[in-house]
Amino acid sequence: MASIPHAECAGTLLRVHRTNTAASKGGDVFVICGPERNRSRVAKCYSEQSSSNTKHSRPRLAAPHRAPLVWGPAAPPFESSRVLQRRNKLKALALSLALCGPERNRTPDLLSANEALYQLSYGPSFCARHSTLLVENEQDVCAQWQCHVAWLRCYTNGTMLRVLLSVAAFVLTGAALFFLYDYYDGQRVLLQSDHAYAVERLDTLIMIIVIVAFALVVSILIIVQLLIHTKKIAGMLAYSRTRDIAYSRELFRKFYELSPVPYLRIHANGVIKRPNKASLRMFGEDELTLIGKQLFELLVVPDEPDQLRFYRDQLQRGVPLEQKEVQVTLGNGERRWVLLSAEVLSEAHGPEGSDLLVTLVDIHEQKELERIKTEFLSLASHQLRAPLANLKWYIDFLLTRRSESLTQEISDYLQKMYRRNEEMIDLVNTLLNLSRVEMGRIKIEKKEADISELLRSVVEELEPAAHEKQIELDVQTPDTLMFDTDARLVRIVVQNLLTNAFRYTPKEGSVRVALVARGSEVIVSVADTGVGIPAAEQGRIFMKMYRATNARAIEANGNGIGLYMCKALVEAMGGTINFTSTVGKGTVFTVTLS
Amino acid sequence: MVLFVHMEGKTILIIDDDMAFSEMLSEILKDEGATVFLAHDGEEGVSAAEEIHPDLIMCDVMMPRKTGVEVLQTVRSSGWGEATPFLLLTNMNAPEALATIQQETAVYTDCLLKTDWTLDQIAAKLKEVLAGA
Repeated sequence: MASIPHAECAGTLLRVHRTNTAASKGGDVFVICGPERNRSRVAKCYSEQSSSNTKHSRPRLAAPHRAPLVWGPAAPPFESSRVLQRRNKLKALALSLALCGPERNRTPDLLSANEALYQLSYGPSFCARHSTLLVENEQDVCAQWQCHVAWLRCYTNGTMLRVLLSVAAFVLTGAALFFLYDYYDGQRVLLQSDHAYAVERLDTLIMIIVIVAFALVVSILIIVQLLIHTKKIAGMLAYSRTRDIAYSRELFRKFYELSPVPYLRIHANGVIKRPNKASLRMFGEDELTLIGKQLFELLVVPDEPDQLRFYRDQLQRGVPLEQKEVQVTLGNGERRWVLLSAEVLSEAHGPEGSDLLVTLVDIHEQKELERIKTEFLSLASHQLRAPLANLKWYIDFLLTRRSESLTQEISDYLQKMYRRNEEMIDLVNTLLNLSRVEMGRIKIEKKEADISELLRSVVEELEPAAHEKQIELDVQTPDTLMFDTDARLVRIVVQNLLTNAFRYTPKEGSVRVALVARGSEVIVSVADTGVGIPAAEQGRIFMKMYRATNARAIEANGNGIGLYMCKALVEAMGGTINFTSTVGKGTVFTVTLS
Repeated sequence: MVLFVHMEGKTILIIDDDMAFSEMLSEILKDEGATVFLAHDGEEGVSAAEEIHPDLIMCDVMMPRKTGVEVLQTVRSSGWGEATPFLLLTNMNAPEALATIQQETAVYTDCLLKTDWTLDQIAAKLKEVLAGA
């Protein structure tokens, strides 16, 4: 801070001379301050003036993207012209440093501006301690004002109180003396002669005047002492308050700047105002390129172009945005998936409305992995199906068309092969359905279907498994129950629930399937007398790949996908799935379709 | 056991890049007395269809050079093939394939998932399709 240029205050226009002649080839620097409405007028006036005067090089004016550095708000009403002048001078110095910098070709240096302000306000020792603070916009001037306000308020309030107290004490002392005298005087007036009375009264009055004068002098001394003392206290208070503000601001700024989460402060109209380091890294751009860009022009919601407009409207109404998946276009044109959240900063009003705090959390890697995984699953399932289908048809062909030429042994083996192949097909279908659920590709095609018939056919299909374990099967369905639903998906759900019921019910247990219509809803329940789900694990039973510990212990087969998929499918159809379960007694799954 | 009935004299064109599958299917259909032609990609399938004007076309969906949907579109837009029974056989999930077809062509056709069908069922289906033609 060796070369702080000298500044002259000239109303709303400040002319700053640079002392360092080597660095002043560009001529004088003019800095425009004052209310927003005056800036452009003054700028225009100065640019005309400078173009008519060819001797001087064209003055440099604060460029639009440096707007935060051109101090905006008008002076608060309580400030005297002296304070105003001093404040403008500070601004001018800060700005001259910020715009020119101690070295040529230096970008606007916010740090220098800050240092200049604090140096001038509190001396080098304060500056040294808080040199990392950044002074950026009018809010920082507010901090300065706050300091002045604190000082003035403290000074005025405290002093006035003490002065009033002193005057009151003085008046009370005088009045008390006077009344005391008057009382004794009334007692003595009858006893004294006129002359002696007059002399004595004069003496007493002189004595009173002396005493009062003495009291006055003492009061004045007290007041002066108090004034000096109050000024000190006010100064200390203002200093500690400013230091607190400075500290919390520094803390906030460090959090903001150094946070690994990309933050952006934007204008209400979407123009980026202040990106943090993480967002600069993400965009791969420097501060000057990124500031001034329209954020909403960089965002894309694939497949739903109207969604972005909806988000904007929502923000304009002051409703915060939370974790919306959007794509953002980076400096190199690459698009990445981010979670967009935005909050209105109601305290920070710009000319176009409140500023917004935007966070962009990069979830691109996650999304990519998810996509690759589901695509792989889908492709793999598709490729796996081709040989399985061939195998199925060949075995089917041999068993049905060439049965006469097969020995019993070969025929048995072929049947085993057929069954194993069917299991494999089931597994592939499950995986494929899962990937479709996760890719959101499940299309709900509701059509009127007989749910009763559907339920009975699923039971019939799976009955052999029940017979094998001698499970008593009780099916209670109305004869027909027409319902508007996606029968294909309902079938998958019921198949899964029934398979689970048969799998986890011990020999000679029972499984009860019931179907009831209630209002506009249809309720399917599958109750078994199986092993049950341990209470501690009931919260996780619908999680993907999760199998209860007791289920794993009794049955190695099973992939933990069935219930996860049931829930996803039922919810996709707008229904609900619930269960009650007691270990050792059984489980009842209830699916409500609406 | 007789699975396929009244196939004699019928011309069936199978278009599928899965050689093993189409050859096996053709064996079965030939057994029933049908005349079977094979094509191994979409283009080949379209030219074969134009040449022989089959009674039934069974076609895969995902194929090189022309997809099953494109073959269907070509056949339907040709004069002779407007009413030719057309079955799509696929390893893709049927509902999506069907939805795509209906969206793109507005021509309805049955789309069967290969693994979902046994020979008995496919026989019934073929009978139904040929009877409807």
